Amino acid sequence: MHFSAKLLGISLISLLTFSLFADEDALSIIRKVDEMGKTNTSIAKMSMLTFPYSEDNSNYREMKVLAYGQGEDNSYMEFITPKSIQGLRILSLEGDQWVYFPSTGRVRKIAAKSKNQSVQGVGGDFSYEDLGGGSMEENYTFKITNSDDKSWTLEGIPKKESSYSKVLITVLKDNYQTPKIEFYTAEDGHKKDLIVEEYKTISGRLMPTRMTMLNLIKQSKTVVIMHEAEYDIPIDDKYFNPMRFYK
Amino acid sequence: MKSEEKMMTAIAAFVVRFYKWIPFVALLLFILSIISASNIETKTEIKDLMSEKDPLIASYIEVDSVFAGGATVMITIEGNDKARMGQCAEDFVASVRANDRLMREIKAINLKVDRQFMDDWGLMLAKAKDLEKTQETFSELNLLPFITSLNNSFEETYTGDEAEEELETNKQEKDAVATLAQLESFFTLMREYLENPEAVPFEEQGRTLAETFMYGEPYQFNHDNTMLLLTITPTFNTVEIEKIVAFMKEVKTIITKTNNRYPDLKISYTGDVPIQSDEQDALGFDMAVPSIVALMLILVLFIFSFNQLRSIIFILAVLILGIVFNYGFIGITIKEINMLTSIMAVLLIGLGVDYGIQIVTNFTTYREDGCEPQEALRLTYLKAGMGTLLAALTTAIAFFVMSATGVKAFEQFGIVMGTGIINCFLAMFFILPSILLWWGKKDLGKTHLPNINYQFLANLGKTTYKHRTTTIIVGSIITIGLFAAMFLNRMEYDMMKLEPENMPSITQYKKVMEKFEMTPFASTVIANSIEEAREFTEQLEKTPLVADINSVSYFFPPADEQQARLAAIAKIRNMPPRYRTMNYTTEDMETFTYEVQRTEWNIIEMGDLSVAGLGENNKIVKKRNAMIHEVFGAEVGKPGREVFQKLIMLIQSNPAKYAERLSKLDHYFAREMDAIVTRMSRANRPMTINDLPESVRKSMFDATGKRNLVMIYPDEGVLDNIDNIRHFNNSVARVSPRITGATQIMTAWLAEVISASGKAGIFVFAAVIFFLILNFRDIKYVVFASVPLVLGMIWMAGIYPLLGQKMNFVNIAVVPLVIGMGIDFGIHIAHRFKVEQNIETVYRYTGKGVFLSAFTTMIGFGSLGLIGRFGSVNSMGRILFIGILMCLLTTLIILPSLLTFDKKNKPL
Repeated sequence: MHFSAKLLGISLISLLTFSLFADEDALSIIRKVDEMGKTNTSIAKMSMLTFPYSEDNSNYREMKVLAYGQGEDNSYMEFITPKSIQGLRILSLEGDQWVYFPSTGRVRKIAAKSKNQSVQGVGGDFSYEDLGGGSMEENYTFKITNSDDKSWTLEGIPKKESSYSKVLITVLKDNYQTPKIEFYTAEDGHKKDLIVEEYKTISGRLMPTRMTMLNLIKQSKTVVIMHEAEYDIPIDDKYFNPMRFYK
Repeated sequence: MKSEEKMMTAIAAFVVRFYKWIPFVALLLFILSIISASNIETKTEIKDLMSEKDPLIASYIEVDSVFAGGATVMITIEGNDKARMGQCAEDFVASVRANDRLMREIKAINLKVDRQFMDDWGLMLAKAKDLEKTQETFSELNLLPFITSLNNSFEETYTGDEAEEELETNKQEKDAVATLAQLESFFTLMREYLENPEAVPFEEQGRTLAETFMYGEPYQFNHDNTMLLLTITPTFNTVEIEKIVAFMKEVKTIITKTNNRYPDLKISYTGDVPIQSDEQDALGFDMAVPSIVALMLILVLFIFSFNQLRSIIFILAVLILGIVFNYGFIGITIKEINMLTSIMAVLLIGLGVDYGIQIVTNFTTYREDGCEPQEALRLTYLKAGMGTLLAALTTAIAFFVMSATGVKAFEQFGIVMGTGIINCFLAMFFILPSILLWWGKKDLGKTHLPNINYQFLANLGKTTYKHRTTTIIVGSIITIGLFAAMFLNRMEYDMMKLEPENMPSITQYKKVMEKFEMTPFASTVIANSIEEAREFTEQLEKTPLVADINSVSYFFPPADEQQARLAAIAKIRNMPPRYRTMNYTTEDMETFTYEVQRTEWNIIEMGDLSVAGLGENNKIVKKRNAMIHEVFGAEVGKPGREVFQKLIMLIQSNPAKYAERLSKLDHYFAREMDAIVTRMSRANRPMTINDLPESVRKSMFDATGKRNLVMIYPDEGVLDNIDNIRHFNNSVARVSPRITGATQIMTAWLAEVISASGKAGIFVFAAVIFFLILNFRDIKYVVFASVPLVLGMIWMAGIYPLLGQKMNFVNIAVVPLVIGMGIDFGIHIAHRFKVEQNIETVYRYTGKGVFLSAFTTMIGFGSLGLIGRFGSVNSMGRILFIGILMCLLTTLIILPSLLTFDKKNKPL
């Protein structure tokens, strides 16, 4: 198990929250999308449900975590469930990761992984890159490939090394929400779909609170449910200190 | 004279003329049929119901013929003493090897790790990058530096910041569990030696401890070491039934004898071969015993229904002749009985007996009316012959049309049953009258046996007539309710539940699944080369729901990797001295216990890390909890074997004493380790097929040494539901469409049987309706005759799930039979009502016939459902029993109300 350097909740939100200001230019649209996702700090309680087979809703594993986020790259996670790893904590700090094992009382620095690897268990079908830092604008060059009365479809081509060959983002014109992001790779073609199923207003913002990453190749899916969240509130620095985060 | 009368008169004349010859001809035919029937093979697998042209079946047959289908005999030894279980396994295998008859049929025995092979090629099985790490571990083979290095390596592999291994796939899970088992054996043995240094000489202690680490656990134990598993690969495949049965007889004898020498242990068997052997017994039972029970029950029923014991015995004897003739026919044509056709005898008893009843009833009536036997027989043919012939033809045609579905199982079933009906009819039409003429009762005086009065049927008819509106309303409500309940029907996908209950091999199979968390149904594919096997294996390792892969590619990595491994081995070979003499001090013992503690921490953390990728109940966690204790974050759960804490506590109880003992143990351990490393590092060329252990080579490669078998084991949860089964099948099919096995065949059969059952149902229904129209020439009566069947089918489908029953791959195929059999009741009642226009008369005369006909059929199916040992076979009996019962109820209760609904109430 290896964990993303990015707080899960913050990363997903940055992928999925949008400006309410309309514009017909791809760059300005995506800038507004990025702008809405920006938070300085966050605290969220969330569940990650991994389904080995997307059509079998009875077979899944659930993990519940308390996640603290700071900026785009720093995160702290504490496992609430499953019982066997209750209290296990993970600190991701600018690319480095530490794990505190309550079972042994030891803290261990763990290996960082390549971008396309799945954050199995914790991330399920979300790869490190899906949760990685950087804004949409920084990571992709966008153009509008389709436009109708209700939405734009933006095609994003990676600006730097990426496991994806392109992404297709559907942006709704009335509120700039993105109900769907399609991920493509050179090897597998259309590989994954990120579908937002529920939004709630949290701290005055419309935030995605339930989203599903569907892996079309593995036929698996991962559902993230945000139970509680707070944004831009003060967080004790100890959570982002490798020497103190476990205390 | 009408043509049909001419025909019947001619037949009567023929029988009257040759009635003393016909029984002898029948006897001759009976003997020939018995001889012919000995050619019949019993097929018990789903694949036997499908066409060999199906690509999946073709692949399956190919695997079966080239690699004996990967068939194995699994022998399990259960107990609590590992050493004794190992000794018992050795003893058992020695007995097998001493048996020449068995050894001629054995390709390989997989008892334990082949040490010679490990000495020669053990290091070549490790990845080059792992060998690089191993160099450090092997650089100092004394216990303390060795364990320290082991911990370093463990952290580099799993938990450290350079860790390369993730714990996400089943392969990684399997490898990690093997590592834990190896460490458990090593540290447990070390504690035993430190605790009891006099038990065995130090030299032997050192050697055994080194061998335990380097070769791993020699035998295959489950995670709590309570079951040892060994396998035998036979030379024959799973279709060579005679060899299987003979082979298992010998094996069972050896098991009994060995178990007598080890009464504290339990030796059992399972696997494809033993299951096939046990299934033969069960299918033989299912083909014979329910039929005999049904015959006896029908005999009793008839005795108390007809009061003509001799005639009834004649009917049943002739019925047996008809059924045996049909077995004779199968023996020279299809030559096999499968899961579906195995119920033929029971079906024919229920259906064929009706023709005999018609003949006997009419013959006896005419005799009672004062006719001479010959005249009575002529009148019987004239009055009842054509009706019986048409009834038999209708039923036979209904079965024959099933053959037109184009599905092998239905083709066979249709032909077998169609000819069965004709055989039974011909036997009843020619042999029974001959016997009646020759040996029939001369004095027709009444017997003293009590007689069942079927007046209740007439009363039922009267009651439903009287309350026909209420009956129709209540019937409609019931029908609506059961129609809704119909959607509660579920399929049973667990193939083990279709197997005979309480069969030793199945009981043990379930135990092996539970103890080893393995799924027995492997999918297989033949790779045309090692390269292709490697390609398949690499893709399959990433495929969801694949638990384990058995492939020769693990022995033969790509050429550049082999060269890298050889280079790393050369470095190990050329290392400077790998050990020194160490005299442990009490301070060293502190460091030593710290390293033991560190090993425990590493294992605990490894278990924690595995939870994210493999879930809470993964095998790593189970193994960890068994060897240490349950871990819930900072909390400790149920105690385990505390492998490490027991060692630490032992050493801490007297560090000086154990320092001395450890020094002695270390001296021999390091020396033996060095010897093994020296042997293992001799490998200086790539491995070839000829270097493989014989058991692997013979079971995994064909005679040419090129084509090889890749076996794919699904996750244990895969068989729980059809979605997972389909997901697994789709995933592996993307790797190769040639991958075949039980799960693939199961889904293919399911798709085929659902489509074919629907088709067969339509064909049979169409044939039946066609005959109804010909017979009634009045659409109103065609509808009346059909309604009980349609309602009966709905009632059957609704009641079945309410009784807690599930449909399965086999019983779904027999549902169309209810159409062919259930329609008769409606026909008889509607036909008689058309003539009589009086419901009481109809039920007084025809009701009894319908009731008895249904009851005899239900006795057949009921005995199958209650006594049948195969889950699949008895489920066919159950659904057919319910189907016939429901059709009978709707005929007796609903139909009278429909027939008389437009009639005004008037005296009956």
